[in-house]
Amino acid sequence: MYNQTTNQTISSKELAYISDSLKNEELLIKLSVQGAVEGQTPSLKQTLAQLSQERLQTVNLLINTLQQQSGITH
Amino acid sequence: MYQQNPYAGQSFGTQQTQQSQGQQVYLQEQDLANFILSELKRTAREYATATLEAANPQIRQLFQSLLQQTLNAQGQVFQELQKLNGYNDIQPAQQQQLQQEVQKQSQTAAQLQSFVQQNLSKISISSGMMQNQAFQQPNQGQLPLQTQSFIPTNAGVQQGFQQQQPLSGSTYGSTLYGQSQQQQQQPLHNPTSGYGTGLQTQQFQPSLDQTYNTSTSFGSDYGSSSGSSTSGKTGSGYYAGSANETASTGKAQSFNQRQTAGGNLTSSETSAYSAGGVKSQDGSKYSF
Repeated sequence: MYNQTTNQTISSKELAYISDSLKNEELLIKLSVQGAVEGQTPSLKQTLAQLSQERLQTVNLLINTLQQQSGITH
Repeated sequence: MYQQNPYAGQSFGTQQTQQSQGQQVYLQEQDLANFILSELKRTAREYATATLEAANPQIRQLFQSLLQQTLNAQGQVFQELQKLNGYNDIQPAQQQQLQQEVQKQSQTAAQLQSFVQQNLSKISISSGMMQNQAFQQPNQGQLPLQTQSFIPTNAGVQQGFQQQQPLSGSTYGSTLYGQSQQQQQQPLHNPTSGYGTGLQTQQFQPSLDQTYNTSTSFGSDYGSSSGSSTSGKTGSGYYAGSANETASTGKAQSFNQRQTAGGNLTSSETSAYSAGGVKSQDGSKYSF
């Protein structure tokens, strides 16, 4: 898997996608936290609270990937 | 920033007038939930684009799993909104239209199946065994329903075209299954299992099945004619860009492109995907 060096480096396009995704996730987390705090419907509140937790993990995943890639490329 | 809902102060359609002042918060909640829903949808679209565009397999895998996760989350939020009567106005399709569509598409699928069988037999005769092997691999791997109707053609071709006329599906299906498939699948399966086939069967097969299942009565009629399973499932797994409208076709296409571009790994694999290219051109004539 690591033989093909061209596939291993992260392209600027992919970097841009990851960066955009992080921005998306940030907005989603903030919105869902707000919905979980201010909401009236218990089930919706719970769903949104769960969503914010999941999305936080997604952010970590994206950042981890960035860190890994920076470790490989430099 | 989002607490100050611009709609809250204004008269906002029927809901606002029906509800007393104290329940304005409820409207805000629904607005917020709608906002989150649309954000999830946009995020899913961007993940789909990112998956399609990513060249690095690791990054692609990441985006792919995040896409799936986002789709699941969107489904959950949508269901919550549906509970809040947000989406009660979903109109069921007209029964008459549905039946017309079933008839039309069943005919189309039957034509498509005869088209595929005719042309597959031509290809196998003119260019030998290599492609013939290649065509069988997705049949066994991904299309268990299709083996009855589809494999016998290949079996007939392999053992000489003369025998194709009198063959009955079940006998040839079993002989082929026993003899050639097990031998031939081995070399083909290994190079693709890591990236191409493995991903496709795991990730996209369920979603494809879901697509067929959600069409309820349509699905049952559609599935029962053997031709339809050829068009739908073959389209996603193999003939990328033929008569298939689901999103998984796009995936399959991109997979095929990637495989042809990226890997001259083995000769059998290359032949498999070049054959796929030929068929997708043919198939495009029949895209409806």
